[in-house]
Amino acid sequence: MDVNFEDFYFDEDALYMERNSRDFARRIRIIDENTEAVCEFLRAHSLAAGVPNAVIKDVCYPKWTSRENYDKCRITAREDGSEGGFGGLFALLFTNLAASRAFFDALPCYKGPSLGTNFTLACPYTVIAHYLEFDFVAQYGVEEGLVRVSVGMEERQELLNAFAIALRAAETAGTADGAD
Amino acid sequence: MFVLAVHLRCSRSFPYTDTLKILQKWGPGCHFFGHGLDNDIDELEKVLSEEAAKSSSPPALALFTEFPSNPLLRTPNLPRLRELANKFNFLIVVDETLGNFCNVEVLPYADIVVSSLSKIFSGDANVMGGRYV
Repeated sequence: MDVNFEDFYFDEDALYMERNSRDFARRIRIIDENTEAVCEFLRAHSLAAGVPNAVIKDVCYPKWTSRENYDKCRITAREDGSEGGFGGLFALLFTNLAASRAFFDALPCYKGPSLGTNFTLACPYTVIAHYLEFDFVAQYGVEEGLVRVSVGMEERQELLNAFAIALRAAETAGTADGAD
Repeated sequence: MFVLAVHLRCSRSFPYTDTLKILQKWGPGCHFFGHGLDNDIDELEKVLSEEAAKSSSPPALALFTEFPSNPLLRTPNLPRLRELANKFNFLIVVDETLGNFCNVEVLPYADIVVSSLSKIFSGDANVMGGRYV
């Protein structure tokens, strides 16, 4: 490593990175709690939770997805005594594409690729990252209508209201058009 | 997901798209275990045993995985992967960008931990960086 390492990280980038990251722990706690609240809300309206005719099939989020494996490394007590959370990212699987598109279109938040921002950012991940290989990725569970959300630090109720708007739009479109 | 590089690299569970593409394009090749479910580890063990039988050198260079994975948020059984890594003498590389070190501690099971500092570590989406431990 010593032989190959070259320190060419741009000085101003280093300054910005250090400044941006000073309150990382505080931001993570807010984002973890926001994400958990949003996911609980959405899951309560999903097939996975046993809601018949739901347009959301499942919410992919470590609180439920591979939970046992996640817990093997989850921090049990941070410096302040709190447990480690489940992070700021989740993905939604829908029962049909109409519901997925309506949800994404109606969701009032920033949209685009990438994740891990202090503001909520959503994207139709499969369309962005796997546009030429839908069939290949579908065999691994990465569906065309997957909507991925990186939750930010907005007021919790504001976020819940935003996702309620998107869910209503998905329910209207998804049950009207039926499965694709 | 996990990807195993035999004289290959190995990727386990469905990873961020570029992770798999890079492993496939460069280097000696890789096995892709795209479901990232616990029964994939049984298949992984089978592949490792078969490759180990062919030669005296380690059957794999490294196993790449995410904790949890993007975009399906699946998490591998790291302790079990660690046992295989010790038995067959390969490295485990864990990307904990999504879990992050305030929530999860993966160093005890990984040889190398990587994460993208461009993401929530920075948070403002105005600077890029990465780390390797």
